[in-house]
Amino acid sequence: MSKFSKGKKKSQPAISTASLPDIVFMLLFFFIVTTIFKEKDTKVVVKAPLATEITKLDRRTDQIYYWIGKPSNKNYGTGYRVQVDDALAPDMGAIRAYLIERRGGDLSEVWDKVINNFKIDEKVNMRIVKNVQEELRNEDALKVAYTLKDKK
Amino acid sequence: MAKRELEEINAGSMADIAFLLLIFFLVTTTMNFPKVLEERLPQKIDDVIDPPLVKKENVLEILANKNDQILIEGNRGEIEDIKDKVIEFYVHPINSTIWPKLTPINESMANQYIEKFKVLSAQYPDDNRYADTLKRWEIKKGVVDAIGTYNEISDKAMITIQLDNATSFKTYVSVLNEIMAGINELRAELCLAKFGIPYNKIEKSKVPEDQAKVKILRAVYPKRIMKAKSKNSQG
Repeated sequence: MSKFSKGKKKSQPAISTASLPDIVFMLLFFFIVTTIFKEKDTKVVVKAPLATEITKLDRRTDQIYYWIGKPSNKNYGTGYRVQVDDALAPDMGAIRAYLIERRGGDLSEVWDKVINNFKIDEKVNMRIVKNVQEELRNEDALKVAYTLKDKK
Repeated sequence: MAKRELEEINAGSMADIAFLLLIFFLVTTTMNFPKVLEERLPQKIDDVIDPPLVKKENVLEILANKNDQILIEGNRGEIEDIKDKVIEFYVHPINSTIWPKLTPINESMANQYIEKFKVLSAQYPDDNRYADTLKRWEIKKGVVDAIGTYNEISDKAMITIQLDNATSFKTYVSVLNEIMAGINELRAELCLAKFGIPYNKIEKSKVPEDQAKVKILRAVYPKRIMKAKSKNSQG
């Protein structure tokens, strides 16, 4: 009997796919757990400047987002505008009002746990940035972070 | 009547359903974490106080004008020059007269002061100053215990950034970035020399021992950056 018999074919048993759903489910749960939906809708266009000394920020930290850039929709004007979380701020005073609302009546809220995350277009001048931060200082929200692009 | 056996549900399509969901989550997941440069705004003070007199050598002054040009200690410079200046600001010969005063701290000195202020703070429990000084020396003692004798930079030393209202955000970020690059380089050097581990491995670590190390490095090379009131550009 030769080792390479060409005669009678011995059919290979099919690979069991019974565990396939389990594997897929495992992967599925992994992605469900790691996915965070982008809930903010940006109304301004921001091209962040490059930097090297940046650190990762845990996305689960409580954050207030500030976008400063030109509106993507020309109906909102052509100058630089500030968007706080979901809405374009009509003026600087609105930012403070938003912070007060967010803090609620509770004066003891610790702003130290909230990071004010700025995404600012590189061409924006510092006057606007300063004015926004002045509103933050009025409310004692002092933790600031600038989202930047990794220079690599 | 014979009991009908319950038919088994066909689970063959289970995998297909799971696959479909899996692909959906694969597509919607973004793994890139936001990368940030952190900063702390100065607290708002209601009363107008006269700015304390600071010695010129205690300040590294960086100025960016409306045309995004940089002035370092009064001289025209480029963004890339800032890093070296920052390193020089922290590390220089002890007898230098143009840079902040460095004080060598050693163990016996730390012990001596801790003893002294322990007595004083016990004597005058109402005066916070003694307790504060005691706390500061205890931190210094911790640093000495970990890395040995070191040169401590004057606590009045700081880096100031003065901006124009028309300075671009990009310039501000590059200045801040270069200052941090200088400080981080010094910390990384010390970290590697004393602890034998790269600084970026422990910087954001949540392990208490690593955090203690980071605290020590920060005590030796403190980040003291101040944004001076911005000027209005003419025209």
